[in-house]
Amino acid sequence: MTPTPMLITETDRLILRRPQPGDLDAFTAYYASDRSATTAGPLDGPAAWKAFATELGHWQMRGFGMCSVIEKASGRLIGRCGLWYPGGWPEPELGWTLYDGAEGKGLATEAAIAMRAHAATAWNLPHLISIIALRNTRSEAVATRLGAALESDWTSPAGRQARIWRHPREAA
Amino acid sequence: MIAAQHIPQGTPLRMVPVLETERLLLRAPESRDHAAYAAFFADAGASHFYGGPLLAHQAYGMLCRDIGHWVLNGFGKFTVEADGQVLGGCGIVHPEGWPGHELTWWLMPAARGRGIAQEASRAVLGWAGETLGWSHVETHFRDENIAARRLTESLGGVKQRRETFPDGFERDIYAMPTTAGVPA
Repeated sequence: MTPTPMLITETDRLILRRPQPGDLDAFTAYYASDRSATTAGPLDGPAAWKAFATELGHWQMRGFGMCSVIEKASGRLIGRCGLWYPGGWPEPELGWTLYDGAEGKGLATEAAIAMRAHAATAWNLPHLISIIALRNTRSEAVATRLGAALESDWTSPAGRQARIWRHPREAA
Repeated sequence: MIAAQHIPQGTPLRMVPVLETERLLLRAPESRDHAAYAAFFADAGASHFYGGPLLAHQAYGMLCRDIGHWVLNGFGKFTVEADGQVLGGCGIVHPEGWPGHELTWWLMPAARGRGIAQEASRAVLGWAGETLGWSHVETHFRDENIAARRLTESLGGVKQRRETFPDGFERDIYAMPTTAGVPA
């Protein structure tokens, strides 16, 4: 089997790999839409470029980061899922974002389960949080399906109101 | 099962070369530079022309972005150090939405006044000529940034034009020859 470049982990339907420069267009399109309001958007092109560059650099800084999620059947880049730990965050969080048209198929849950297991075994991070913006009910539903429990209210360094959810501890 | 790719925390980007000058080492920006970034951007005076002051978590984001800039563009800002101490940064940047690339430098206040920016800039210009194959590198600065104008002129910079930038400020744009562009 040919190794997938930059592969991090995979599931039945999905490949999670490190983000590449060619993923910028999908990232920018997502941040141009109002759907990105729950993840500090919307952002114009230059601001999305900065945010994407930040996600790329985060990998070198932390040794982990947000992955691009590829749907095996279509080859399409359908979102992001991974570990996000920028300055000012209380600890690394498990994050997920689906791009337009990928929702309603359980893909975020599937990606997050694989990522959570990988974080425990590969990065020794077995007891993750997720930080979910207030009123992001779709992401809260994913967190609930993942078995996470509400832990506390939190305000980001930029002043955004959110809540911290705690995932069940993974076997390392 | 396919082997997953892992990188240890703090791994410098392999694509970034190390440039050495008489006094300086220019290398990839990496996680251990966070303290220097935080100190520089906490200093409102020192970081005035660089979008500062910034809080520590914002400086962390700036460092992440500087690393990602290399991945996206194939060029970027080097970290400049001497004797293991970070003095600042120097390189070529082109943020999305801006009219062109820019030779840029920043120095901790204690590292100023000793020709460090000029020495680092010469190394970057040489690298741009030899590795990127560019005959010229541009730079631009605010009118009141006298130090930047002096340094640019000392590097052979010549004013090309004046433009209004996305932040609303007009700036003169200079071009400097790289080593490759200078006749022997």
